[in-house]
Amino acid sequence: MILNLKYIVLNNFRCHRALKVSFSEKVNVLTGRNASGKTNILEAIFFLSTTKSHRTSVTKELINKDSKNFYIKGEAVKNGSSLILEIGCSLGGKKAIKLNHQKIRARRDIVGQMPVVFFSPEDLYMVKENPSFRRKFLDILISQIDHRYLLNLQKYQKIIIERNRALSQVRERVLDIKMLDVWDEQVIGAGMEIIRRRQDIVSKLNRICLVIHREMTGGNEEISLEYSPSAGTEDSYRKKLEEKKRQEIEQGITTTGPHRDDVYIFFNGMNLRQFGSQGQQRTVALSMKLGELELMKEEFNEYPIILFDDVMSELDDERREYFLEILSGKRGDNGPIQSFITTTGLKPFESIKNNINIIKVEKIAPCFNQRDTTEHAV
Amino acid sequence: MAGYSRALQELISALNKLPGIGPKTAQRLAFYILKSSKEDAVGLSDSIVRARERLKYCSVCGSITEKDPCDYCQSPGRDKSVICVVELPQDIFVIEKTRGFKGVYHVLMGALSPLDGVGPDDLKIKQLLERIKKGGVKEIIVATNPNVEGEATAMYLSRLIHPLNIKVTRLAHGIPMGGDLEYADEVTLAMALEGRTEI
Repeated sequence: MILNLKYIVLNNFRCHRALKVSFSEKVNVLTGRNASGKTNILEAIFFLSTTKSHRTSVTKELINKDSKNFYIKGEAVKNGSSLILEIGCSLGGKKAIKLNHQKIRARRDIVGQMPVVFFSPEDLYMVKENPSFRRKFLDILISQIDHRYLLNLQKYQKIIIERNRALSQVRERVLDIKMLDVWDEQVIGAGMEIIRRRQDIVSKLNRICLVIHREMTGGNEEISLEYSPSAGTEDSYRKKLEEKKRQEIEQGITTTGPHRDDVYIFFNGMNLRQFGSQGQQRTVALSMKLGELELMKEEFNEYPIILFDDVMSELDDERREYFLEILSGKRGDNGPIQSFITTTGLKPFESIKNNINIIKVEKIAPCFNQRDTTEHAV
Repeated sequence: MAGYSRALQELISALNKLPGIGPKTAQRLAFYILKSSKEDAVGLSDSIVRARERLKYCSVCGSITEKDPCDYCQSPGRDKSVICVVELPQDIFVIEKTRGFKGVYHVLMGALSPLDGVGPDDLKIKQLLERIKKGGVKEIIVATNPNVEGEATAMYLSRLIHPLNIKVTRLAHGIPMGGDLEYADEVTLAMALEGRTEI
């Protein structure tokens, strides 16, 4: 294995006041009762990798209720050299990030250093809920592969904020309407780059997911993914902004662009969101995440770290075996993949029991994260 | 900060108003000033007063100067047909250090940002157009910062000035000189690749 996480230290992160866990470079199974903090360990690994939580966009929610800041440290070995990642965050919400003891200025310097794919129950939202979940899926995936995309995304968000303010100022007659052209061109420049990169990735994902999903459903279901862009070219983008201008000035918000785009998911030619059963949606979500995994492997020539939150219980025997074979290196040409799996019981791992590192997350008292449930905590 | 005498308190809070100076640093600076000789302290205060009284913005280009118009605008050795547009007066010093630019300057005093309430009328754009209308200008070099606001300002200027049949150029994005490619940040390197030139 070329990349592996050796240990992680958590201080005041969610329910963990002070914790150090060491990992093996194969399959790590975290067991423990409900609310013992298993998922929080995965969340911390994901946070170290992406500087975001998969569950919340408000970083200070991750701070232990009795504390004013949290600190996470992880050490990985990457291509033979050591990679030390540290992130601290205080109630003020400001993050301090260090890479090999050096303070770093931009998120893009750390994102992608330790690539991960996170399988979690929340994946289902990606197929069931509104487009923002699908955009988030793409953004996290592409940002890890391509720093320029992340930079561009941050730039785009900034431009949108400026343009929205400009729209309001036009409505209030503070700003000349011609000034919008300048912001339109900025939006188009950054926006088209995001759209093209997403289109490229979705078409790659489409190719990969088609095969995976066929395999998972025994050839019974075909899925296809299609990026639905707000505009296909700079010219059509400009035209669209022009058409919507009047309405956008009224509302003071930019209503077209990659921040409103969607990924359409079809199974057997039908729209999955409308016509898929719960079970089908679940399987498709899984196929998409597996697609993400394979795509990252194509990009990095090796598998990323895999985080697996409580998904085992949702899988039937066949799919569980399929997964365990990938993780333990029995499928494909790679060796075992470093992975982190939470579970309440060890039964699903019977077939690879000699190849797993079991970590008991039970020493810690049961914990409650929400600040308002403190009184009920035992 | 109870216990400090009024004069000390005033000095600390005056220093605290400076950018990048927090209460702790302000306190340290204040005690340093008190510890230093009387001449040094008075010298500091005099130089602040002198600078404030003598220095003004050049009425032509907006640079900081003792004379009006400034040396750049008056010097016969400088090419008045090329104007380099910058956001702030301090940007001029950086470009001057290159010794590679022999044209004149124009300071905008900021960049377009609806978020900060900065529109074209808040910048010295009208003054720039007036300079151009007086004739003799062949090229405008837009040297605003390579961020969202700077780019928007550059585009706005280019749209305004292009119809006047004047060349508008923008600073190139590229890798720092004297460094190793290995250490260049990949986004800058990608930009440099895109803007590569034939040799």
